[in-house]
Amino acid sequence: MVHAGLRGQALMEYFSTFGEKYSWLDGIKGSKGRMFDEASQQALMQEFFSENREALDRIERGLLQLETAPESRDLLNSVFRDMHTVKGNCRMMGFERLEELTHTAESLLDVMRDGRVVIDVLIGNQLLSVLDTVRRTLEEIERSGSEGEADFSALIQQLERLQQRQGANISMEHDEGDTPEVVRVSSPGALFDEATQRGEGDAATGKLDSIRLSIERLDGLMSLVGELGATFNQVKYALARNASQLDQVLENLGQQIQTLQGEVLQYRLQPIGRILDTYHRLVRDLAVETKKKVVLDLVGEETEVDRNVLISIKEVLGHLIRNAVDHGIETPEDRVAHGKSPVGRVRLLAEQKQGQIYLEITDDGRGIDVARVRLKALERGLITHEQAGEMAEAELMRLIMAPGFSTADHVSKISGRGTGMDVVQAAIDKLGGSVAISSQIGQGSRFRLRIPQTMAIVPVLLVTAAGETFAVPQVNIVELVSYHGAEIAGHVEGKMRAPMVRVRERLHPMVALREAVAHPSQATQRVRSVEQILAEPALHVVVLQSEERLFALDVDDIKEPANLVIKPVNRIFADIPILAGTAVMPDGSVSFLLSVTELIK
Amino acid sequence: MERKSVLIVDDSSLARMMVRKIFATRFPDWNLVEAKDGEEALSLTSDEVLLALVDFNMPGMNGIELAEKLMERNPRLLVYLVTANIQERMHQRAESMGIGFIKKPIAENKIAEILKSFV
Repeated sequence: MVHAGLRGQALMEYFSTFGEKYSWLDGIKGSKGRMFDEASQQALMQEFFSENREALDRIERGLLQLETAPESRDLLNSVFRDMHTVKGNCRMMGFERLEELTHTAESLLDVMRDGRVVIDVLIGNQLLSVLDTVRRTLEEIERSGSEGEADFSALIQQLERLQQRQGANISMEHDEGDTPEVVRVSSPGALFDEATQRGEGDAATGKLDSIRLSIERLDGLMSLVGELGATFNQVKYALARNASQLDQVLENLGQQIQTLQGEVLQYRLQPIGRILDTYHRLVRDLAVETKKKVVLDLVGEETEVDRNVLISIKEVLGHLIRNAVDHGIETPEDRVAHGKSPVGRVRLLAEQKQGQIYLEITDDGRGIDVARVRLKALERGLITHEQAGEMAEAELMRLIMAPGFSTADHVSKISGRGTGMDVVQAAIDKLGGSVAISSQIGQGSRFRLRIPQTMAIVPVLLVTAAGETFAVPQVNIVELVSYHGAEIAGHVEGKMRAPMVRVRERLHPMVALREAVAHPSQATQRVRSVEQILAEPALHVVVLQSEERLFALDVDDIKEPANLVIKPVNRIFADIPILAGTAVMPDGSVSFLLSVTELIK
Repeated sequence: MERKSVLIVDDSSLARMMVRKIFATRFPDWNLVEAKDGEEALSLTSDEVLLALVDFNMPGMNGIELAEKLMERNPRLLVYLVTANIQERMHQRAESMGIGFIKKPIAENKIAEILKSFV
């Protein structure tokens, strides 16, 4: 490509030999070029024509290619950019009507770029006719110096209508009369997506309490329910006449219920991007207020999360981002002095793995000063000197999440308000999640949250203690081990009140579920003595992971795994922190979901 | 005294030409460095560049991505994003990085206003 600067120069020389041709330039109304002398004006006009024509030619080629590759992002981006350039040029030279026309075309291309409208013959034709119109008008300008009298309003209206098709998908029934062309949407789920996207304004204010479903999906649900009805009849028939079929029929019924459950759960899932978008504003306000320079990167915006979870984590993430900007990122001067870029980086990553959502807030700021955390925790009486000496770095870092802790020396207007990171911890606990903190002085910090994708159904392992059944979340389970008779003594050791169990050459502290249930509020009495353990014929332990710690839950018996619908704990038990939820068992009885983090506290 | 430099990054040659003309007519003591995209801008920028006027929509990296890289190389650099219209979230993103805005097409008096801070 010819370097544009040179080209401008060459064109000016070229132009000087054609003198009079562009004398009308003086007469251009509203031309922003008027501030220059005539030669410059003319050079600018030359550049205007040549650059626009090149761009229009490229757009035309791009549009034709798009017809065979409608999803090509690269093509769409380059067509959009060229249209944007033409528009900018028209604006710069004061051709307002051309600007309006190309702006409308650009807006349509923008919607296409987002995948909300896919090119079809009609859109292609309209955009090509924009090109023709712009070319004709450029010729007219070259001839007369003005855009002429041609009327673009009809074309502009058509473009606007095409652009609105995306917003109109939901009410397509009404529009079908006057826009018979087929709207090709990016995915079968797009109708649903559109409906939720339109609620974006609501999402910003946290109103995630209703969803819209396409008729198509509702029909899908209806047919599932219809199948259930048919299977129910088969059950009745089998019971009355042909008991040998019952097993098969019940298995079908189970599968159908599972399909229905999965389908309904899908509807509860929302892309997390809906809430993440609002953080741009948050970071902007914080940066302006603290005079810091920050860039927020969002990764994994398409990750789907149950809408109830979404509502709960919105504030948690806001708090963590606020914390990252306020306490993590340094001032631009400090950063430069430490050899860093003046612009701090906060990254929010969302990903889904095996039914769990991981959210990571990373900053490249000053990092957490563990020595200062230790000091502060001692000052506040959160730990004793003895504990301070024994605690590992990761454990010390966790103290910033403890109630009454704040590493900032003064309560700032932004992160402050007297509430600390303990709010974050409490919210995550409530969701049955966990948080891991890592940090490097001078390099930054990372908060990694794990929360269940949906709170409705939790895979658990059923265990018993003191004659009751309890559910342990599968996600925390490392392994199950049972020892019998003389074996037990070989694996259990330790002092009277602190028995440890050796599993694969690793010692784990033990928590006896029986004792934990008997003394729910006394963390110190959650063990059985070694003598008590050895007195029994068998020892069953579930090795559990709670954040960085591993421990062995000593239970009376290990039963089967199950998927349970978890409900909040009844008010009567709400004060017992080791209980995270309740579930109705197959036999109709109620069992409790255990909070693994609370058991080891 | 060394000449102060301003970096102009725009994929539209007309837009660059316009800014070049404005500087040539009104602020001739400034030295102009022009680039058609981010990559070229990064290869041309030097310590003498005090001010960067950057288009948002460009092939390759966009204006904000470029601004971040430029600021990393030269922390004292003042960056303005030159745009006609920009998405709200991009606007917020730029503001959070301390980037200023100039409405496109660039008006002479806006440039004059910005250049005042270098006197």
